[in-house]
Amino acid sequence: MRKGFLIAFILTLYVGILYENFTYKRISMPYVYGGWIIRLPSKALKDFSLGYQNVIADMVYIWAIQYFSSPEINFRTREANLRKFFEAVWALDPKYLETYSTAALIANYDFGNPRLAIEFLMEGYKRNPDAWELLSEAAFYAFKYARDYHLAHELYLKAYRINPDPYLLSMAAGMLERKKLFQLSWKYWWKVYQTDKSGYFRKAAERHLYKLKAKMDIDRLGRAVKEFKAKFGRFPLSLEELRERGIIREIPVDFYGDPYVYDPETGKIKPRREHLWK
Amino acid sequence: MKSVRAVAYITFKEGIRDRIYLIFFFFAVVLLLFSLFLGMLVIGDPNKVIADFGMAVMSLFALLVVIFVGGTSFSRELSKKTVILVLSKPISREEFMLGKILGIWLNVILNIIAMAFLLFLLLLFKGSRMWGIFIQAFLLILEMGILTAVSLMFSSFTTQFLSMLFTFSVYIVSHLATTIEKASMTLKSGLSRTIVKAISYAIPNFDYFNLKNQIVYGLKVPSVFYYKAVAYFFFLFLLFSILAMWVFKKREV
Repeated sequence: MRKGFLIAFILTLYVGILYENFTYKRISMPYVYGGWIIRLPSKALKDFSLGYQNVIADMVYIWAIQYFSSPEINFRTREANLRKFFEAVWALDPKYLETYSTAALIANYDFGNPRLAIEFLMEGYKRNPDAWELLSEAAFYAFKYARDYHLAHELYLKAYRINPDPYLLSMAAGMLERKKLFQLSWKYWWKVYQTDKSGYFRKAAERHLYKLKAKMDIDRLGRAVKEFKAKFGRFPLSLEELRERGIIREIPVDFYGDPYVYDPETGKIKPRREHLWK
Repeated sequence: MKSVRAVAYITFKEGIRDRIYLIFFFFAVVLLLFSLFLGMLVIGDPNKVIADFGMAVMSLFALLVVIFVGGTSFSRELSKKTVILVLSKPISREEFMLGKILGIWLNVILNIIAMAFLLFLLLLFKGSRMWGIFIQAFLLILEMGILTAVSLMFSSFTTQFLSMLFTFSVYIVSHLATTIEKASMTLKSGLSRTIVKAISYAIPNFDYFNLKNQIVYGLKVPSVFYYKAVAYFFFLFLLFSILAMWVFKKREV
């Protein structure tokens, strides 16, 4: 009798627990999302980590990912806490490269601030002077989102000095091309063309070298044709005539040694391989 | 030496039968498996998080075993008066204490090695062969050896609770040595700076046994570090073991 009563009592208690569990979500509780973590002290955490700094860094990093992917938290609050969060992680584990990339990713894609993304990646580079990947990423943000080709070129070149990968040099050359610094760009592409063993970048370099040489030569020839017209009142019959009349010393040829196509009617000059040009 | 071995063996056997030890071990295994889940939450290499978390679990649970098994084992002998029975045999107090220290340490070693293997296998399963975990396990074994001697030294003259508390405090303080030294730099007065700096040098520095960061990133540690860590272990282990033996010899049971 007593045992039966006890079992019934325990079961009643359990039903009560089940009821509470089911109704828990119906209570609207005041709650600040991620409220406790926004006051993270960066340096103090490291000093009192008792040898567990790596795992604490991981935990803060995981928390940061959850925090910044929670739309419940006010957008501006999230933006204001971005640096605070990641500085805590970096103070604990400065070699954790992925965290710099993630911070940059959030700064650029969530908050539309590529300059901040670059700043974060550069902080990572300062702490890890061998991390060319961070420089390369920063260069990408500079070129693609901040449209700062000068900075992008410098960063790619810096990364190339640490890791002489033809990809990095070809990116630096590409940035110079966008800045219309064709001479220097030609120099970089030429180096890629000579040093790339994989063949992939060599092919790209070949195309760019063709384009750049053609661009520079056609510019020069165009000026010569203009000068000829000003002197003689007509277009030259051929490019050879420019040389014969002493306007240019020699007629340039394209990257493969073929002459450029000249139209004496219009005075326009075109490269022979136009598919490479475009 | 034979009697030391006998006491160590019995303590070890007693330890692994202890419910606390088994519960700790169970929770450590659960937490190690939990690290797989944590690895899924990060952007980037999950193995880094698994290794970090695994090594933290390894050292945290080794610490708990030292504090609880070390704290209760000796006090139990005293409260149940079994120590009188043992000491009536041809065995000195020093031998008994040393046997106790080694026995409990063996418990911790078993715990650490089992966890290191499990962590290594977890990482292997995830495609990473991180042999450095065994280096950290070795250093952790040294650290916990010192802490076992500290725990038994406290057990031999205080209550069970106080001994646990003191051992835990020694652990915390020993991991703060570098922080204290750093803090001394922020002081303006020359004298207080010297005093705080002297304190940082006077206390044990357990950073000698912490290579978690270097191991996760595969950084090369100069071999002199290992020699110094082993030498440091011997100094501290001998010091606290001798102190424990001496205190126990003076104590009335």
